[in-house]
Amino acid sequence: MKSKQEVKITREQSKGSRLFIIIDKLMIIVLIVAILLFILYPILCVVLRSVKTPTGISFSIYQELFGKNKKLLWNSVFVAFLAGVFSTLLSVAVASFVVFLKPKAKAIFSTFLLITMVSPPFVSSLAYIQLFGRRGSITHGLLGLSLNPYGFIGVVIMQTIYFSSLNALLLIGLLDRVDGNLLQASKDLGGKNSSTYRLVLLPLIKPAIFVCFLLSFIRSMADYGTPVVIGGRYENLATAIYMQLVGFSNLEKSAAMNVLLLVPAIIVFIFYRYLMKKNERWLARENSEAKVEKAEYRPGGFIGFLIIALSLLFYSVMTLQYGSIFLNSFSKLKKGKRHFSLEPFQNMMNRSADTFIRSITYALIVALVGSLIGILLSYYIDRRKIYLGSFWDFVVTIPYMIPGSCFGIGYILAFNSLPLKLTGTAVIVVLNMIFKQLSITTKVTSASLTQLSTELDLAAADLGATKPQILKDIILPNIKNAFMVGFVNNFTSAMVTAGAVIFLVTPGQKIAVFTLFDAINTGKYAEASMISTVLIFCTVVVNLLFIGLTKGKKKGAPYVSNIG
Amino acid sequence: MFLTLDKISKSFDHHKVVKELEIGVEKGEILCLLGASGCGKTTTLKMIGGFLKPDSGRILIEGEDITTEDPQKRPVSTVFQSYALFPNMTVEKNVMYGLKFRGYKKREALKEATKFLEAVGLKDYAKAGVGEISGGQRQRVALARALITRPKVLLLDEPLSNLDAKLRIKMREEIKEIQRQFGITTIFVTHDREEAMVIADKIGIMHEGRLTQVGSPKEVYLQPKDEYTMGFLGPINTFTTKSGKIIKCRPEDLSISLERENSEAVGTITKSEFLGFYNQYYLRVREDIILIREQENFSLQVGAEVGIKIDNGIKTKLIV
Repeated sequence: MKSKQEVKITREQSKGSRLFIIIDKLMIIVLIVAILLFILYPILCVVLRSVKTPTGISFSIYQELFGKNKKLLWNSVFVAFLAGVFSTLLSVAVASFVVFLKPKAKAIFSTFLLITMVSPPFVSSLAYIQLFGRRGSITHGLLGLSLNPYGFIGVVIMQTIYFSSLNALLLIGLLDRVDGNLLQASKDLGGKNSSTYRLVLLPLIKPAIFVCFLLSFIRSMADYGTPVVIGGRYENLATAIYMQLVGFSNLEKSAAMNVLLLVPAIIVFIFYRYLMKKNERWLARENSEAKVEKAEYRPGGFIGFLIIALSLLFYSVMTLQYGSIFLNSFSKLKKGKRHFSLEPFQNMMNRSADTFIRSITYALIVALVGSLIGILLSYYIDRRKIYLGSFWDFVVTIPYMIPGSCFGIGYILAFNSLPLKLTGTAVIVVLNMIFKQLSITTKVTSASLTQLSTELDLAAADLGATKPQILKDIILPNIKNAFMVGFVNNFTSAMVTAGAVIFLVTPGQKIAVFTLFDAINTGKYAEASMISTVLIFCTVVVNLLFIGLTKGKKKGAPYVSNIG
Repeated sequence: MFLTLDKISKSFDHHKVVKELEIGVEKGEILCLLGASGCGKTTTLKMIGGFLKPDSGRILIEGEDITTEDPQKRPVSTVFQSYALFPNMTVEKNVMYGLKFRGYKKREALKEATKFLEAVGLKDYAKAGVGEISGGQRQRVALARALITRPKVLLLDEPLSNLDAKLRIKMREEIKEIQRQFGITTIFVTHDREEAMVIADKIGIMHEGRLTQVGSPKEVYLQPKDEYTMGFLGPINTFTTKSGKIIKCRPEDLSISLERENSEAVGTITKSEFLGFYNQYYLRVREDIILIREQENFSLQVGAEVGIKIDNGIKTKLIV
């Protein structure tokens, strides 16, 4: 016989759990619909638009593209190859330099690389023009020359610097995880440091080095910002897309050119995944004990010299770049002499203060909503094994791998008519940013979830928790770190990435990156420097505040069992 | 029977892991499911816990069919192999968690948790994080957390496998003590026969998805029903005597004698191991190698020929 109270409890419980089951199902449906509507549909629009003519399906536009625009394609490939090779070589040197530093120095030099992550992509171009342009502080100010800085060489140099930082960060992450015992073993067997470096350390990250080249190649192909700013008469596929869209509003043509970029991007990405997986197997697990300080294995001889020389060059350029941006934000040239001035600041405040507020608001929404969607999605795919899981996972990755311009045009095509007319609104910008970066959050969450034993879910269910309750009580509190990484990444990219934003933002609601692009293109370099400085500052401050907030409250030491 | 498994079966990818398993447990009893890894013991436990649904067969508690009941609702609690303590909660919050779904007010839940923590001797650790306590303490938190929901059956999945040898011995006493205190019907899964012998009222030996035998520790050890059971519970010596009789027995039935003439068989020592309180000798008897443990210090060398005696008759008998 069940007592009265027991019966009451069971009834309440089943009423509650039925509600939770409905919530659970609803969440799955909402997430799937969101993926289909905001990722798959826009991309399909781009592909379809490029082959659809009034008379039916036709690939004529591609024939025309390949016929007339061979030069553009060649230009893109040529510059992408050079930028890929140079940035890979440079990043290997920088990563090797940083990895062999003592902890404190290492922290400083890696942090310096991180600044690139929170900088708008035009920063190096802006610095370049200010230093080496017709009125450049070095070429004109110091040497009295008036050179034309515009052309493809500038593009290659700018992209090399920008990509090198990103590549170096990737490589440092991997080099750090090389099992220190391997270096000890090599030394024990009689290997000199330079041989250990050449024969043991570098081969262990070979796949990742190739990944750096591939990623840089594709990034260069898709980058329209740098060539538009400093390419001068140099044109490539990405600038042509930009011109077709912004200049002539020709959607078909830009869609078709984007498909040309889309295909290699997807191929590269599949390679990237394969190579990184291969590389992962050679490295120790994160947080493993095999992580030892590598300072005493610094290679000497010619290799050691090369590493230091290239790194010095890189860090000098970086210092020069950010130094000049900072100086130019707070100074003014008067009769050939530089004076401290708040004029750039005042100009910026007058013309674009509101864009910063808008940028931060958008970025906060993107960071919070995007991370939440990413975490939920990853939970349903990895933990709950929903139907077609790996397909959804792939779809989520597509926006991240294809060029921003492509995803942006997709949104214009998909959402410019009723019932879903979003063009010209803030919503389209925010949605585009959210879904572009979604895969970073899902990847991080997925990694955190594998660290969290599934026995925890079973235990909670055993004690009476329903699935949404398990998610709320057990899963979410234990993957805070994934939320933090997701937030920082989403916020940062929403603040500084230009990609699709340039096409989606309307003049009435400009955001800071847009104003920056505008300011550079209209020659307001001091103001552009100020915008860059403030943009970097805001991004760093908000990220630090958020990290402090999430890390602040600590409840017990993290204990995660690895059994099961 | 309090808990009955009625011919339950389970396959994974056409591979039958549990085959028509039948067993009954009396109220307040501890049953140990003992077997090598892959024998289906954990799968059986997961079916009782509700984490896996049997392909066929029924699970009954007090005559009520709970075969398809969700883990949330069935009156069964599990202590997991990894303990599965929620890392984001304190010891106390872990223990209280199950009460949340049983209509408890927070104050009542807290009072109850304190009571159970006291029962497992962890009252002082209520506010500690689960990462700050030792393995044995974690084990006790997991026990308290499972017991607080007042389940009818408690399931323990290899609960001692994460502890070092010394602690394992201490904890198995403690688990038995707590089980007695609550009088809870318990199923304990292990691959360690000594553990099973110490803890169990009843041992069920599992092999390839089936129970080979169920009985008290003494029964299954001394009267094994088949050779697998006999071999799993302890070493078996097989050898032929001088008179040509084939003998099968445990090492403890045999002793070494220096008088070769009066003994059952003669063997040559092939290996000798000093284990402190006894010596372990491996002897070759014709084609067979047998094992004898001897407390007396003969200081026998490898190669020595000795007699083998059966002291008080063979105690372990195969019952077919």
